[in-house]
Amino acid sequence: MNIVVCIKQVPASTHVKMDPVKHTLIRDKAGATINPCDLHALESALQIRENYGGKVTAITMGPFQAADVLKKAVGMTVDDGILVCGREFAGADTLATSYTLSSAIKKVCPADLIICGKIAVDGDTAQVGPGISKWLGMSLVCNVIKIEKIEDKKIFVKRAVEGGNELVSVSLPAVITVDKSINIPRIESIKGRFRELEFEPKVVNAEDIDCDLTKIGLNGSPTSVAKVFVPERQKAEHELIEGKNAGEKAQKIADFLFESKLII
Amino acid sequence: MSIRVIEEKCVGCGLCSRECPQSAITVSNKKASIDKYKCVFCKLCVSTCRFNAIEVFSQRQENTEAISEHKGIAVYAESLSGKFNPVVFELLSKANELAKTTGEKVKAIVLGSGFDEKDLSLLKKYADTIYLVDNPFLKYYRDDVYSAIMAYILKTYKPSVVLSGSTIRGRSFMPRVAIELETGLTADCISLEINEKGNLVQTRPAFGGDLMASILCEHTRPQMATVRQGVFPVDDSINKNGVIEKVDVPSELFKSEMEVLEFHPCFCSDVNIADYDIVVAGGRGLKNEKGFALLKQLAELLGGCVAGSRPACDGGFIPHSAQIGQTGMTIKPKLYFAVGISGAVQHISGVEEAELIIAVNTDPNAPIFDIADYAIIADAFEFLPALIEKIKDKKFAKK
Amino acid sequence: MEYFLSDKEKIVAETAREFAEKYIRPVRAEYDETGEFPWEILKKMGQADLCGIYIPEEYGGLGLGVFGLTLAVEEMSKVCGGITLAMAATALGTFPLLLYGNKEQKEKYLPKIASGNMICAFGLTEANAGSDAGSIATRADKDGDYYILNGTKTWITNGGVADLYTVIAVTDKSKGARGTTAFLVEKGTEGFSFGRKESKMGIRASSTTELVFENCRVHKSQILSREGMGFIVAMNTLCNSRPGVAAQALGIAAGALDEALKFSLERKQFGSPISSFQAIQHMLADMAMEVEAARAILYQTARTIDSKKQKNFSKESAMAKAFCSDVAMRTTINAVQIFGGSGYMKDYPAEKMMRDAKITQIYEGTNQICRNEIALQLIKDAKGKK
Repeated sequence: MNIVVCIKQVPASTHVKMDPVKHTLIRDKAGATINPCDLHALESALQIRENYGGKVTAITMGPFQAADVLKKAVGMTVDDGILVCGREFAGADTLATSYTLSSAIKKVCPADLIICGKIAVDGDTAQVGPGISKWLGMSLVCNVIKIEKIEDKKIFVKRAVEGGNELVSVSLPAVITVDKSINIPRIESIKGRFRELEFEPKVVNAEDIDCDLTKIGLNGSPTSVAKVFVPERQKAEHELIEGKNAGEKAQKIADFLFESKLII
Repeated sequence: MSIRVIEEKCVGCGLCSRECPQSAITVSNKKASIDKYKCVFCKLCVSTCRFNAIEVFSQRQENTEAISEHKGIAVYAESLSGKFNPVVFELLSKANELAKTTGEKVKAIVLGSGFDEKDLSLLKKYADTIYLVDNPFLKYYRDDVYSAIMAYILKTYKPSVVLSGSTIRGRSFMPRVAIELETGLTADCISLEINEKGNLVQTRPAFGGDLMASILCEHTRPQMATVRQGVFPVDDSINKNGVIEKVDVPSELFKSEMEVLEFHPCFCSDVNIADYDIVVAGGRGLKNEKGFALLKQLAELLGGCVAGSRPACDGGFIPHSAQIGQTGMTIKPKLYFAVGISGAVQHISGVEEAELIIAVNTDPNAPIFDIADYAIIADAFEFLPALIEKIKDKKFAKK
Repeated sequence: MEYFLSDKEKIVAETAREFAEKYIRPVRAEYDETGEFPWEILKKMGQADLCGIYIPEEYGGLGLGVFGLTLAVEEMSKVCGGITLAMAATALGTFPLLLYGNKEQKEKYLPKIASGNMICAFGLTEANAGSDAGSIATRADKDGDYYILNGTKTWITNGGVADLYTVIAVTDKSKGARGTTAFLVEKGTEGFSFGRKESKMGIRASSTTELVFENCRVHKSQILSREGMGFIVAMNTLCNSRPGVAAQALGIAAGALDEALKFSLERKQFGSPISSFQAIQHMLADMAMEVEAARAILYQTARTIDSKKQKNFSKESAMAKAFCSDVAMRTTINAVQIFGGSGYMKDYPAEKMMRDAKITQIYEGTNQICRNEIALQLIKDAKGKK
């Protein structure tokens, strides 16, 4: 069983503030990290490997520094790491990104099961996982909260849906996107960290993965950013509740809640 | 699309470099240069440059013919057991508003099974045409079938805009539809408008919600977006009399690799926090389970429900289904009681329309106070027990 | 202080630290309260390769010796000396096999222990024997290819939860301590059962029970070394395992110092943090001095053992154990003092650390016994020089 996990490097802090006087952006220089949901995707893959055997490959698209998230995956004991890297991929939206990753998976690490985190904290689109399933013609299950079993070339999972959860099965090959509630990711193991010391990812570019150049990067991205702006917010005139101690303040709020009939 | 620095105009002042949220611009030899790998084309530098030295230009050929053949604003009318999701009427209301600008028709797309005239009649008020696929096979939601049929309908009827709620379902199958049509899809929009060129301007939070980004899909059709629940009001004054058009879908599309074996109602979401008039929410300031236990007591006394900010939910104190803010729910309760929540922008965007906001925080400069009606500067562990006691006293005294 | 750790040693310490913060800190108070055995955590420790640090690479371990074990136990004990003990006591139970097992025995058990899938325990202490190994009453009578074990071991760490026990029993009563033999006994062997789980002052997440042998037949292939070597096996095991106890003690002490320091910066009295008061400052300084001294003696002892350049290190091992555990006791008492009223409350971690520290002065040879051994060796060395 070949399991591929799609992971992404994201800023460690997604906060950007606007300096109110100078109107310049203040960035949080916290560096980069692996997208939190993707840790749960890696954990799911490793658990499947423990129960059913197979090989786990982590794949990411991004600049050379993105190899750091592959190292993290190696630390967690995935078998292989692939970096899809090249200037031609730059500026990709979710359509182009999912095309690129699916081309790379098809060419470099064919998969029986592809696992993605449900959503990335920087883009917040949750569109790449489902997109990959379509490009590769695979089944899709999103928001998986539990993997029940793999049997007869089918995977049985629980997924969150509107108003509850469902037990579903889909035929393999399939793409699943996992919710954070699915598991608690392991930390990088000691042997994994030893391997990280000398780990080099397999780096592939557009040529290596035989992709249609019109479908990648900016050219392959139908959406574009027209502008970015700071949301305007009305600053409310709030009333400060004063009091000598917490008890006095609490009394005032309690009185208010009764007076305004919020407590009946 | 591409971006370049017009060297003749650039003076190397470095303003753009400081502004760039991606750190993509460096200045050397008094000229700025843009790392195209890092650039996300947010165009902040374009507006910052005082010398108009940065330009973004399009490399794409416009296929005006293909674009002009797409007409109408379509809304996916999501339903569960024949009942439409409230977001459907929000989207249809917005679609009607947009349609006024463009002079187009509003269409609702219904996939499911067992609809009766009564279920559909409400929809007729909001749409000119209702494309209906009523088939027992659609009783359960399957990504492959739903996306194939949706793509078929969009290819057949060619609307120029397609909207879906940013629901679990919308966010999982719409991406597949967009890929089949090879067009753009913007996730989780909170504002939509039509610009002077007739394109849909889709605005969504970016950089973790601290900034807003307006996205265009100029060269392909349809322009697709998933839209956050609760951001557009329902317009009761719309009174159309839509026509139902049963769509004949090729039978091979009703084939799925998925089997739905069991359904368990209401698992992780014991409650839908959007249904409550009073919501009591906790954040990082509540520190531990004891803090959240206090919060629960307060919620019970107020007859409200408990919710949390992202850190509270990530910390496992509150289920993610009760998370408020950009990656969670947007709510409009009568009273929002925020305890130990600093009020990051992405949180505030989920509650700013609450009728009344009471906030408790130790930090007098916490941004939550910017939107609060009543501010209490206090430690939650001192304030909550005191408040609980006072309310109990009063309730007890009344009886 | 710079201890010149190698890259690999740094990784071991980092991993242990991250592990403890992520999986142990959030639940340590709960396990202390319920006294449950931390099965889930132990499974994850195995996953993180924290269970086989001292086991040679050929058997699936990391081959980082006593020093590697020391680093991991210290880091994890900073957060909880109780939960960490499940792994540390397995090391105690594994040393007899590492030191005296034959190839078959090692191949059979070590890989499972290294992966965290096998828990071990060491059974020496009895109601009337412990430090006095000559009074062991558990008997192993020969019967063909088998030995029949009868007797009861008391206060066995990992009792009931361990899968493999090294048990010291008398095979020849006439020879006293030299008539004892070490057996590997698997859980589930007929005639081998457990007494009740003890309720303890500290290290409450760890399981302590009696081992009860009633006509328990053990095959001769389960003997470590050979008949009559039980006492030697036990003594050398303790020489190798005492740094583990010292590491646990050091960890508890360092953890208590961290907590006390943090608290002293936050807690305000008379308008300023208590860390600004000299009385508190001197306490913190004493604690820091002792913790650093304890670390120095322990690291050097562990490295001495691993270097294999010194045949007998019973004195050094006993010194490290007694010194570190005495430091742990003093440091945790002072931590509780710095916490003041809060220190006495279970809502804060200081009192638990104090309770956990006490056992390190007691088990694997009380500190009095350790001092006997140190003195014995000193006198022996002095006489040898004459």
